Amino acid sequence: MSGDESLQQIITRRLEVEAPGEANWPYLVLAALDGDAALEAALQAEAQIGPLKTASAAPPFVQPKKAFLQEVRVRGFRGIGPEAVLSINPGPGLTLVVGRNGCGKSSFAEAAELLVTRGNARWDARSSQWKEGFRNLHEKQASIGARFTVEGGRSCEVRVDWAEGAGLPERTDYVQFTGEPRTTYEALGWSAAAASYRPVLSYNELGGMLDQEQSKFFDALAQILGLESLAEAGARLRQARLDREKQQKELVKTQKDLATKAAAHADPRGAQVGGQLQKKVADLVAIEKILEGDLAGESVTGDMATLRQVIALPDVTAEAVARAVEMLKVGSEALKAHSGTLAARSADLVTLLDSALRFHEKHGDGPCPVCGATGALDSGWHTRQQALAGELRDAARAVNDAQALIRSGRDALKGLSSPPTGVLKAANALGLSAAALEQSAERARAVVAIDTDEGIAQIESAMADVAAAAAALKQQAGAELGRREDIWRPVAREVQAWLAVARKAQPAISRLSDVTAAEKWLNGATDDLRKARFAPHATAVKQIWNQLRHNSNVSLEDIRLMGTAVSRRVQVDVAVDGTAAAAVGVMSQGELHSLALALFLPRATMAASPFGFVLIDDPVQSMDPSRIDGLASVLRDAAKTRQVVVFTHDDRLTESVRRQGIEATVLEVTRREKSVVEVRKSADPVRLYIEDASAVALTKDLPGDARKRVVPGLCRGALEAAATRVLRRRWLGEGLEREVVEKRLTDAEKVAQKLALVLFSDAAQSGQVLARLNKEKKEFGDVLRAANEGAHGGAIEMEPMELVNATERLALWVVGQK
Amino acid sequence: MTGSLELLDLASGLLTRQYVQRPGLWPRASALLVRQALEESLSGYWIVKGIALEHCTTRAQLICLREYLREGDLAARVAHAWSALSRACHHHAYELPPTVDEIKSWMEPVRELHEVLIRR
Repeated sequence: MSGDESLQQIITRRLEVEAPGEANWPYLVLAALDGDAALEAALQAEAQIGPLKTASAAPPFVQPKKAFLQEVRVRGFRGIGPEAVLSINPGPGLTLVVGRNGCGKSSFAEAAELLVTRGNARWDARSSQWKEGFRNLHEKQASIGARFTVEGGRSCEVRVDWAEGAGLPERTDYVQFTGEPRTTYEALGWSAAAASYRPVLSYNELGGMLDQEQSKFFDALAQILGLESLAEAGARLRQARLDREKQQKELVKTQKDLATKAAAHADPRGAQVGGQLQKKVADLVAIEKILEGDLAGESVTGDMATLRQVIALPDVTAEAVARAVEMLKVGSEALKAHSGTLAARSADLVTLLDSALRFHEKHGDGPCPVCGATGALDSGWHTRQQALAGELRDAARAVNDAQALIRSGRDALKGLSSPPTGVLKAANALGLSAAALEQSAERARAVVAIDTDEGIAQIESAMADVAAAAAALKQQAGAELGRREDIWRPVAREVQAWLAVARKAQPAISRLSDVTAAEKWLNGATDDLRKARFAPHATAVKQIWNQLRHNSNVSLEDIRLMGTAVSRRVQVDVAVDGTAAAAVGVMSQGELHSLALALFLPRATMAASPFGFVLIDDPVQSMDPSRIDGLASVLRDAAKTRQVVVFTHDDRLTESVRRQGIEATVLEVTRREKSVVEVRKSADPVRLYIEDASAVALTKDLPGDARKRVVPGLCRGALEAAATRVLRRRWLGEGLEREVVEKRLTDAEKVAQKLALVLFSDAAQSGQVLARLNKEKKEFGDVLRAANEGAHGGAIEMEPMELVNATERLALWVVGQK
Repeated sequence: MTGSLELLDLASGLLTRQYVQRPGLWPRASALLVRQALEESLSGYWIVKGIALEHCTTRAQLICLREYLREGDLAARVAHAWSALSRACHHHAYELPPTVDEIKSWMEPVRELHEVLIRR
C-alpha cells in the first residue's frame, strides 16, 4: 500500500476524468475528504464551477522502525504469582512457548497483548469475571511489563502496576525508553497501529473472527488498506445525504398535511395557499404574499373583498352634509334675488342686442330692422343699448353661478347618499343588514331632490339617518371580517411556521441531488481502490491457506471486500472439490481457524506495521494433526522477516518443527505450587531428559536415595524419546499416515518394545533387545537394565552420573539408527 | 531404602521448588517419585498382610488389591493414579509433563494406602 500519490490526488485525478464538466458535486467529494467543516462550508456555499484545486502529494512511504519483543515480565497477574520472565530473542525468528493449559503461558500472552494494544477498549472488553479475577491469589503485588527493542538500537519498557488491593482500572502505567525520562503509552505511537495490525492473535479471537458481524469482519480487513479517509469522507457524505433526506421528508410531510388543511379552510386564502403547497417545490414568496393578504384576483370578487369594500364605504360626516346644505341655501338665496329681473329672458336678449349692435356697427345709422322705426339706430341708441347688454350679462352670470352652486351641493349630497348598490347587494348576500342604509339613502336622495326651502330644511336629518345606517353597516362588516380572521389566523400561523422551516431547509434540500451524486461516485471509487489494494493481500491469504489446507478438499478461490456502509461484508469464495460453496457452511472448525489465521497473519506482518513481532496464542487447539506440518511451514516463512512467538499447549507443533528441521527456540513453561511459574529453554526431548537427569544426579543433597530413584526414570525417558524420533522419521518417510504412526508409537508402550521396533522393526522381539545392545556395547545393556529397573525403584549398580553419561551415549547411538 | 512417605515428601518438595533448582524438571521427577511411593506402599501392604504378591506385576497387584480393600473406592483410585503415573513416567509423543494439580491428585490415594498400611 505504498504509493507516492496521495488519496486526494488519486481522487482529484479520477474526478477530472470521470465527472462531467458542468457538475457541482465533485467539489463536495473533495470537501468531504477535507473534513466535516469543509463539507459544511461547501454545502452552504453556492455551487461552484471551476477547476478542481490541486491536492498535495503524499509523503514518501517510510517503513516504520520495527519493535521486537525482548521480554515479558509478569507478577501477581492471572496464573502467575511471583515474578516470572519470558525472554525472547529480539529479532526475526520462531519461538514456541510450550506449556500445559493453566501453566501460565497464556498469562504471558495476555500481558503482552494488553501492553501492546493498551487502549481501554481492550481492557473493557474482558468479561467481568476476568476483571475481578485478574490478580493472582499467591501474590499481593501485581504488575505486567514488556521490553521491546526497536530497530536502530533503542529499547523501551512498557509497564503497568497495580497497588496492593487496587482494582483493574486503578493502575499506573508508563513507557520508558532506555536512558530517557518516563513517558506515556502515546509516545510509542502504537494506538492506531495496534488496532490495524493486531500483532497478537489469540485462539478465541481466531475463532471469533469468522463468527462476528460481517461489518466488523470487513473493518478488520479493510483497515489495513489505508483507505480510512475515503471511508470517512463517504460516511460524511452519507450523513449529509441522510440529513437532507430527513429534512425533505419532514418538510414534504408537513407540506402535504398543511396543503390539505389549508385547502379545506373556509377562508379563500386557504384555497390559494393550499394550491401553492400542492406544488412539488412550493413557491415560498407566493405563499408569503397570500398570507400578507395580497390575494391574486381577490380585489374584484369574493367575500373578503365585499367586507373590505363595505368597510371602505365613505363616512357620511355631519360637516360634509352641512357644507352641501350651505351651498344649496346660498344658491337658492341668490336665485331669489334675481327672480324679479329679466334674468330668464336676459340671455336671449343679450344675444339679440349683441347682434343688433354688430349690425349697427357694420351698416351704420338707419331704421330699426325689426320694427322699421325710422332713425332708430344711431350713436345714442348704440351707447344706451351697449350699457343695457352689459347689465343683462352680469345678471345672467349671477344666476348661472347660483345654479352651479346648487348643483354642486346637490351632487355632493347625492354622492353621500348613494352607496354602490353592487356592494350593498353583496353585503346583503353575506347576511349583513344593508337594507337600513339603502332605505335611508333612498329617502335622503328624495329629500335632496325637493327644490324648495322646506326640502333643504329636511336634508340634514335625512342625511343623519344615512350616516347612522352606514356606520352601523361598516361596524357589522368589520366584526365579520374580524371573525373570519380569527378562524384563519391559526392556519396562517402554521403556514408561517412551515415557511420558516422551509426557508431554512430548502437551500439544504436543493443540494440533495449533488450530495447523492458525490456519495455514489465516491463509493464506487473507494470500491475500486479497495479491490486494487486488497488483491495482493488476498493472494498472500490464499498462499497461506494452501500451505495450511493439507488434505482439505476446500480450496480458497477468492476473498473480496464488498459493499459499503451497513451492507459491507467479506465475500469468501471457496470450492469444495472444485464446486463453489459458502465458506462458513462447508468448513470444519479447524478449517475455519486455519482460514482465520490465513486471513490475519498477513495483516499482522505488513510492511507498514511498527510491530516486528506477531504473537499467536494456541493456533493448534482445534487443528488436525495433519495440518500442523503446514502451520509449521507457514510460521517458518513468517519468521524469516518477523519475530513469531507461538504459545501452544501441547508438543505437536514442537515435534513438527523439529522433524522438519525448522529453526526455532522452544520455551517450556511450567507452573509449580503457589503459582510459581518457570520458563526454560527446551532442547529436543532426548537432550531434555539427559539434562534433567544430570541436574538431578548432580544434586548431591537430595534426601535418601532420591537421586537413584529419579535418575533412571529420566534416563529411560531419554531412550524412549530417541526411539520415538527414529521410528517417526522412518515411518513418515515410508509414507505412513500420521494417525497410523502415532497409533503404533502408543501401542509400543515399553522402552524395550520401542527399541525392538528400532532394531528389528518388530515390537514382539523386545526380548532380544538386551542381547543386541550387549553385543553392541556392554555399557548399553547395563543402561537399559538400570533405566528399566531403577525407574521402578530397583537397586542399580551404576552411580547416577555414570548412568546419565552412558544413557547419553546409548541414546545417540539409537538416534543414529536408520 | 526410602519409604513411601519419604518419597511423597520428596515429591511434594519438588513441587514447591525445594532441592532441584532446574526449572521444568520437577513434573517428571515428582511423577517418578510418586509412582515409586505407590509401588512401595503396595508391596508393603502385601508384606504386612503376609501375602506373597509383591513380585507380581503391578497391574496384577492392583487387581488383587480390589479384593482385599473392599471398603470404599480406594483400590480403584490407587489403580487410576498408577496408570496415570505410568503414562507420565514414560515418554509419549506430543504429551507435555503433568501439572501440579495432577501430581497432587495422584499423591492422595498413595497417602491413604499408606495410612491403611500403618493401621494394621
